[in-house]
Amino acid sequence: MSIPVYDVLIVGGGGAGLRAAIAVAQADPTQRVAVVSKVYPMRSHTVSAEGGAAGVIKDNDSAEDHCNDTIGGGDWLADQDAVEAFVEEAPKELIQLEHWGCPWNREADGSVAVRPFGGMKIQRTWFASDKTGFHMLHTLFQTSQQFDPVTRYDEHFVFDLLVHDGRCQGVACIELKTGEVRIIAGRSVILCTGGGGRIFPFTTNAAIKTGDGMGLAYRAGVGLKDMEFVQYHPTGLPGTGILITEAARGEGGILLNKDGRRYLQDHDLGSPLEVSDPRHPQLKSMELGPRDRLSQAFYWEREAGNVFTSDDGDYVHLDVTHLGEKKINKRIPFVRDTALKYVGVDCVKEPIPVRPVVHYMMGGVDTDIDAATSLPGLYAAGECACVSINGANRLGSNSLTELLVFGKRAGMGAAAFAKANPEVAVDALAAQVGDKAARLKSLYSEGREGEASIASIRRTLTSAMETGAGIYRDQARLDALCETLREIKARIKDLRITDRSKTFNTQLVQALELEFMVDAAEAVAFSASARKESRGAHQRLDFKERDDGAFLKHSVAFKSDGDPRIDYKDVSITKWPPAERVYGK
Amino acid sequence: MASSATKIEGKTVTLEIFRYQPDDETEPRYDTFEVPYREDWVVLDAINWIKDEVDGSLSYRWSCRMGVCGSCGMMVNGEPKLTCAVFLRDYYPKPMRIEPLEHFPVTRDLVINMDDFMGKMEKLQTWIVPKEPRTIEEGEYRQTPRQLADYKQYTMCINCMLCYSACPVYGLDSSFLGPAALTLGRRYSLDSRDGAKDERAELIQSDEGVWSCTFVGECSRVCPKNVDPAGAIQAGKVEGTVDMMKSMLMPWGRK
Amino acid sequence: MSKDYIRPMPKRWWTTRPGWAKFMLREWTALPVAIYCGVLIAMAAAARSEASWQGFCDWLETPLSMILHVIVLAFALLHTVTWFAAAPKAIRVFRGDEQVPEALVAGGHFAAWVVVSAGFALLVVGL
Ligand SMILES: Cc1cc2nc3c(=O)[nH]c(=O)nc-3n(C[C@H](O)[C@H](O)[C@H](O)COP(=O)(O)OP(=O)(O)OC[C@H]3O[C@@H](n4cnc5c(N)ncnc54)[C@H](O)[C@@H]3O)c2cc1C
Ligand code: SF4
Ligand code: FES
Repeated sequence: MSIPVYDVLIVGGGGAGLRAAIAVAQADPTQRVAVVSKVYPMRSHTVSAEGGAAGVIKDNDSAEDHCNDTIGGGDWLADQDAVEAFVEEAPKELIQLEHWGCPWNREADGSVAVRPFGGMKIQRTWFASDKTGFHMLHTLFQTSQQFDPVTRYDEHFVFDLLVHDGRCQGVACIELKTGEVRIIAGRSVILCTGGGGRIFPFTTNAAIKTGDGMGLAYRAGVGLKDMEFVQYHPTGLPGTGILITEAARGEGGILLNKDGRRYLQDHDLGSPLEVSDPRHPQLKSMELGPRDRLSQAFYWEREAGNVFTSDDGDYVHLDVTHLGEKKINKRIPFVRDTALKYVGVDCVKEPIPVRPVVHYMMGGVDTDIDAATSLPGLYAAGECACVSINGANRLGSNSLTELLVFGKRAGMGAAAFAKANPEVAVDALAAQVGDKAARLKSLYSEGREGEASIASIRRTLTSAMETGAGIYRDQARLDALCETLREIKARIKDLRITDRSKTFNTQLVQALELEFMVDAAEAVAFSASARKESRGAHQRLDFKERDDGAFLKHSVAFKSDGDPRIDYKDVSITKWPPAERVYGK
Repeated sequence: MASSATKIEGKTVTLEIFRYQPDDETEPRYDTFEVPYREDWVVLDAINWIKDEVDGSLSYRWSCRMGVCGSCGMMVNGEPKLTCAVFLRDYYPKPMRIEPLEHFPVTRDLVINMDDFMGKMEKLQTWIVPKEPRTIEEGEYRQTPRQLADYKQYTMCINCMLCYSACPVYGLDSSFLGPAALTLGRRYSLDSRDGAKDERAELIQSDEGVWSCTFVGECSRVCPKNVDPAGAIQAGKVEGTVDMMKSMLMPWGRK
Repeated sequence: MSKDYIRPMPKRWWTTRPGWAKFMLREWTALPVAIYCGVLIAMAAAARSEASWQGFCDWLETPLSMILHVIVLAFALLHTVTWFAAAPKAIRVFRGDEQVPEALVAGGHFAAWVVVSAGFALLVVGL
């Protein structure tokens, strides 16, 4: 088998992966880059992001303010040096994307327009109607095509990182079309594989978000940081989990319980203004509070019996009718379209049923401010990584910008590492893969007459996650979850695979993805169980207060033979000492 | 052949699905499945149900299930559709026939081979070649909402390939660049920031380009995102003609 | 390597979809309309002498010629309608920052067509 060798090997062709690839190609055209992705890059999940990307651009805004919002929004768990670097580089990256052709919405004078977003005190979210992620991803993908040093391996599923001599030097993957196992060597490797929302039953995340990169790093001995912090978005559609963008509230939409009351006022999120008041919606207040707090408010409303019930679960109402047809069509057309299609509600006339759904993972592969992990030669960026700029709760529209800022940083870091470490042990890598390839081959040719179906284990896993590590957690439920996960780890060895074909075997892919999901779920559950406080998106009924004395720290989960080992790491504090999170005042 | 072993309660609907497994078959076949009928299910939900509950070997692409990633295009009763955006209720109680997108080679079951399109995009230089290069420090290019409107509609393409399946010209001769690729090329040529219009025009105005189009118009009808590729192509023809006239009448006017 | 399955287009591909059938109808009807243009040229040639002009006029009154005219008129109408309906595809009109809806552009073309046709009708009848 001939093994191609690249300077920088990138796993993932979403926003982060493509930004990294372009960064390397632009900085030094002699370096060869590979982008390996399990789907065509433009199918990556970044495509679904709607609302926008944050970056300070207008005169009334400042870096200080963006830092403030981000750090407070993250309940002081974000690394402040990283946040400062992020905020500083954000506008540059967004302008770079503008130069590459991203169709940002504009003001009459031709400058870019910004919109309000939850948890941000000042309007700073750049947007391309309500399809921002789609436009960013297609712009990046189309731009990346012009760089000859970039080779794409589309529809290649990476199932293993190859580590030799204490350095990550490549990956093993399956070419889906042929079923061949391939080794691709890289002087440095960047993981840009996105999040893992699919470990929960109700999620806005696409089918491909199965936490693969987290699993890959975890198995290679790299820690997963702050995994207990899982963001629920307050407005998903019941049933499918499809997202109704925060822009609906940014434009003035309101949340009502079953009695028609704007219940957020009862949960310390400020007092409501009339929708006809020109000051509505108020930034950082009521409906424009942060996502964790809004989702938590739903939980308490449900406890109090104030929500609607249905076969697809409980829900409340998101009302935008007062905006009128014209504004709805102009500013949030995709919302109208989506609600009409998937729940049969025309939001011009009726409120939309919504419920909190899992949306984003703040945690991920532990990296430093330059996207480097603890394993030499391995970098990570995007949602699969945790730098951390999001702390205990991400603010909407910080993530798309994060892909760019840290995608680029990862690219530059990895390129420099490749220059300093030119040698690759190709033969040793090939030898490593032998066993695994043999195992996969036998799966193709013989299948496996196991007991457990992929769908049934997946269902057990996701429903256990919802019950045990949902919006509110406590020790008893977390212990039960950890126990279920131990059982699943035993059962998964006996997974049934009926597809014997080598060509585009999606069942095999599902099986491998399920194994990654179990890794990610385990890190979430055990980290949550160990964090005995409430902070941001991690809320415990048995430890209701934030405990800075014991837990102003990042958790880091390491794989071990039995349960994972949880370590802690200090948070970097520069200018913003921990304070109380205040909204609506 | 295959029918579901699982007993289904309540209403059901029949899906007849194109199967092709190149590892052990040289010809395709059709399998019939009974699936539960649910008012709020899209066709993709039914296909996922089959994969989870009846036949795990059924292969197809999907991801976002919200009509934006462009993965899940298939022929539903002979029409190219995004299966995550059409509902069982649109067809019920008639049986449905699900096939891979027409005019593309079939890799397996409902999975088509779209390498051809990926190559065409690159040929058309679907990226900005700056007219007046600018540094980051100089800030953004100014582009008025009106200038944005010139090309915005053409940026909405999700590369789902439905238009290629609706295009007989492409079906008969796949060297035709086709609706989506030509539209994306035009998208960049219309952008106020771009300066490679003339280079792209060579290909757009060539035999593989707009002049192969006989204006059947079906591409625009099936497009799930209202991109109107047929419009982009016709406008491309008009522009090509005007440019040709100009260069004939005023040879000094163009380089 | 790749064992992709190729599905060739059926011979009568245009019968498989209504949209394609409509397209073929447009293609085929173009021919009779073109032939009819030949008839008009014959008319011009006939106008050179009194006798041949009279013969031509007599032929125009035969049932065959009537049927031919009705058919060609139908075809010509089909082409006119599809042409105008297609016009907004080739010409995008903007008003302010927004594109004028296609129906409006097509409507404008149809209106102009009616006006011009009426003008001609007046001219002919007025003679
Ligand atoms: C519905 C929705 C709306 C959102 N809206 C916003 C918003 O408005 N603003 C904002 O800032 N953020 C938003 N987010 C969050 C944001 O979109 C994501 O965090 C971000 O797009 C993740 O990008 P990524 O590049 O890290 O990964 P992705 O875009 O998820 O890409 C992952 C890539 O990795 C590849 N990959 C994964 N596993 C493997 C493997 N095993 N082998 C090979 N390749 C692999 C995939 O093929 C893919 O190319 C939203 C998220 C959702 C779900
Ligand atoms: S033009 Fe429309 S139909 Fe064609 S690929 Fe793009 S979105 Fe799909
Ligand atoms: S699954 Fe993404 S478009 Fe249908």
